[in-house]
Amino acid sequence: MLRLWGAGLILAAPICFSLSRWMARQQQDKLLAAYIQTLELCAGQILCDLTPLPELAVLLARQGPEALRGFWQTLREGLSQTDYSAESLWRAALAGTSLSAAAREILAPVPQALRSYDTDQIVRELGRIRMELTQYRARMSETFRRDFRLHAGVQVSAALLLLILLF
Amino acid sequence: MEKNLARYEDAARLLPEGLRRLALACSAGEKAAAEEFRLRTGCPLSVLYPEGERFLRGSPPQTVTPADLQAVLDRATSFSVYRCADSIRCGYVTVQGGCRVGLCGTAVLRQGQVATLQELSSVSVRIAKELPGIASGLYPRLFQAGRFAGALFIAPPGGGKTTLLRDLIRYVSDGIEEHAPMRVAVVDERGELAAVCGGTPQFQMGAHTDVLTGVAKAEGIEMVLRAMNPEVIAVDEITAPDDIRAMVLAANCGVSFLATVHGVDLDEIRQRRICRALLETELFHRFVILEGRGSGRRWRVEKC
Repeated sequence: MLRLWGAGLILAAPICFSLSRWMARQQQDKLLAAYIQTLELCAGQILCDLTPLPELAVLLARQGPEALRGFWQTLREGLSQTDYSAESLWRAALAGTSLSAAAREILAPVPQALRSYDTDQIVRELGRIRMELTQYRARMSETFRRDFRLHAGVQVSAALLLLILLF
Repeated sequence: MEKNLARYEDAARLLPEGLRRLALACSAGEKAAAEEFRLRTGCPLSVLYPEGERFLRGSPPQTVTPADLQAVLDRATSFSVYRCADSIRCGYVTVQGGCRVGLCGTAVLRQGQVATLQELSSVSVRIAKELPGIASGLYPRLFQAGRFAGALFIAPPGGGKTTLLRDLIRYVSDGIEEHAPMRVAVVDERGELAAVCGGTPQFQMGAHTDVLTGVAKAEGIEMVLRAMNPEVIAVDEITAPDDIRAMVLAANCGVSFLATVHGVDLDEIRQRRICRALLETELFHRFVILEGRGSGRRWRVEKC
């Protein structure tokens, strides 16, 4: 019975590890998708209603993608304090998310884009960031799929090998 | 006094931290008398008082940097310059609370027109003033045979025209015991008279006042005439022949006008073509001339 438990654990360990990696990846992907959607919403709001950043933050904290409501809430609170620049508040809010450093880097120029006087230029710039983020998301997905297959395969093989050696 | 102190503090809130600390360190009397903050790159922050500008140097001495000017603009536009692009093109931004931020920098031209201002070099923050009651003695003097005759306000820049006009609008709109309230339409091209923010005027404009903001005066006069059926239309700073044409059109519909022009007195404004054209329309029979600065400001009414 004990042997059976041991064998089960050896097999379960790589499966659990892979599952947790997959879940973390799913969460990251969901977050990236939410940012992509949010950038599109921002561009629409700015182009149609010239919505200023603080109002945008209020709107998105209430009605935006659920995964980012906390982010917009943090930004909204920051913007109501007068002593910080939009860039530093944006960076601080991004730091509070579980986004990868590369994704944060891509999103960092958003406040700079909003500094433009020309809404068409803002929309173009937000579109460029969205495109970059979409490509990054696709790249990450592809890399993860490849790595996941490889790692999962190696781990399960190692576990099976261990089982053969032990039993 | 209390209200003006609060408005000074509202205006100071637009300044970056270091400069704000200097501004808030002034005495209550100085705060109440202050008219503008002036920020010029490389110079200390200065405050405009009725008697002139005074530098706030601080210790260690602090000078204004381009980043400070950008920070003021960021706050004035709620980090969204695109929202105020049209008014920035005209060189100013109206801020919640009624302050007006004037901008100077390098103009970017597109097809011969100013597209925007870049590389700000100086910024002025005009502190909104509201002095309820200053038009109490003036209002009854603007009636002719029981009918409100309107008035043209004449004063040099910073002479208090807008503050007096604003209070008069409130009197006309609310009425007094002897005179019934009237419907007043304010065409507030630069958002200085009513300073509407989020649909709410930041100054007391009276219970029968409709405010149209951000439209050129000529166009705005026609719009309010069609839409709001006003008895009195108030506009600030007549500067273009189109404004006068629209005013004549509205006057033919029985509307009285309250308007302002830059000038010293009637003789002086008669020298200018645009003002002469305005006087020739005979839209105005009462002229309110403002003289002096600060607490020494006085007004007198001339009839024509």
